[in-house]
Amino acid sequence: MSKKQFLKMVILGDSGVGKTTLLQQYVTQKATGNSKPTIGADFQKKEVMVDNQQVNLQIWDTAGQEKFQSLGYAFYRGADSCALVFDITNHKSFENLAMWKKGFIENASPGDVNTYPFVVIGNKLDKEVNRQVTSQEARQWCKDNGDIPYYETSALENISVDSAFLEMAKTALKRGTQNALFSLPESIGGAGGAIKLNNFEDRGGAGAKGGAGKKKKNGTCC
Amino acid sequence: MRSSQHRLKQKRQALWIKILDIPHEREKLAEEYKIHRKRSEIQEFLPKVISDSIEVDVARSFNHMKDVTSQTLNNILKAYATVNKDNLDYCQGMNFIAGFLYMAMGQSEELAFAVMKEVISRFSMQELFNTSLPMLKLNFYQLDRLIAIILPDLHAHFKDESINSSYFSAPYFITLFTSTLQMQTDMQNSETLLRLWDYFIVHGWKAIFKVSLAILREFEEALLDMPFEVLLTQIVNLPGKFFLKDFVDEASERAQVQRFDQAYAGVRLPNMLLERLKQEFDKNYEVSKRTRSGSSDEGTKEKKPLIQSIFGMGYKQFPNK
Repeated sequence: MSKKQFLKMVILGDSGVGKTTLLQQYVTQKATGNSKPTIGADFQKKEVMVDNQQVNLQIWDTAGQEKFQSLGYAFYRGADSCALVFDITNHKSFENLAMWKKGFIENASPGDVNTYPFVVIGNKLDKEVNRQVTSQEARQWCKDNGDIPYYETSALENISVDSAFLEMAKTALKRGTQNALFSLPESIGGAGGAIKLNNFEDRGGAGAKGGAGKKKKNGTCC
Repeated sequence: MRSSQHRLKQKRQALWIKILDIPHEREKLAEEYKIHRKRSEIQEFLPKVISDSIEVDVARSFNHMKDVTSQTLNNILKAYATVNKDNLDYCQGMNFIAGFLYMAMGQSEELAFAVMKEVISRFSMQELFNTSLPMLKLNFYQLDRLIAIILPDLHAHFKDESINSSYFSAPYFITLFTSTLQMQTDMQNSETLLRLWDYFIVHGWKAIFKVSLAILREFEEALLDMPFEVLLTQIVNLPGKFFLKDFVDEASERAQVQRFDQAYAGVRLPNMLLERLKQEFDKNYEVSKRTRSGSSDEGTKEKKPLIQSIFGMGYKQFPNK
């Protein structure tokens, strides 16, 4: 068996387009359609087989309100793949894809943008009758943005959810991972432990707990 | 037998109102609420894009708690969005606070509105909720540093696993732990959450930090054994586990609240420490902003170095003093 691979993925898009439900469906094979607004970000993991290789997906589900994008840096950085999600019954959410993509690129520094493994997902196919964004329109946008693969899904009824995520994993693997875990930001201060207060000794300290067996269990190397 | 806990339950609403200096004439509160409700129906006060974003969240908040209706949540949140609209309209997370306060204040919209308004202004929560969430970044910094100081083993483990508080603590600060109620059908098991709010209303942010640390301490042993992935999937459930206990009777509820009080008191957090960490943050934040903006052009590009400096990159440059 070949060594384990780790991939970091992030899911972006407007509030209420179904990011959390997509992820819930993908990871647990069921979706209630009853998920609460995500505050900050949520983390999910899933093991999948891609081309006979075992891959550990680490997926960040993010908050959809625009102001939360200012936290993006911590979550975007080192991502191997990024899903841009909109709601096919909400044209505004489609128009905002450009904003999400731009925000991701600015924060994640993903190298060559043209080859970066984006996937665009038009969700809520179960509400076809209320559709505001045509497939053609969405495909055109994907084409104009560097031939991004496009999927139409129903997170609620589990239509094409697996294939969308699998596509993300495949293209990310092909491009080579960015060693997600090693490029995570150290911390916003505390865990970095660079600053000490005089009265309160930082007893734990960097690596005090270290020693054998306490090395990272979850990197792509070693 | 009437315990002090029982008496507190009876008087909680009145106490909160008194401590928060909210006018106790109900007519006055009702009148003010009515004004804001009226305003919220006018585009000029409440643009459609804001009311839409409120509705999207309300539709998926408190779906299991039948006493908190969508109508009620919409009313309170839209009214609030007209209070100080240049500074703050709506931020995700306020939906949970509004629903919680509605229940805590005896299912009165005007009281929930009045308490929410006072709490947001008294504890500077505009800074937390407004456009770039500036205070949230400070809070992450403070919590990370407090973990290092108070729970050093956990800090070392977080560091080994490349985890910092921004990965899990946003709901602690943004919803003041009220998002734990999401799956609840009523407030039966929420006495300890109400108890936390007693502390919050009296002591402000210090209470939120203390309970954050109390939660991490309670589950520390389990957390220490968890690698990155497991830790991140489990840690988000801890506040719910901590606050929502099944109480079989009043005595067990009382025991739970006492345990909570002990856990809370067990976290020693001097006032000056939080203030000091704030100064530390402000200083580093300022310095790293200066060093970075010095070389780059101002204005348009200002946003990115700012974000980067907050999320760790900047601190590395500052050795111990």
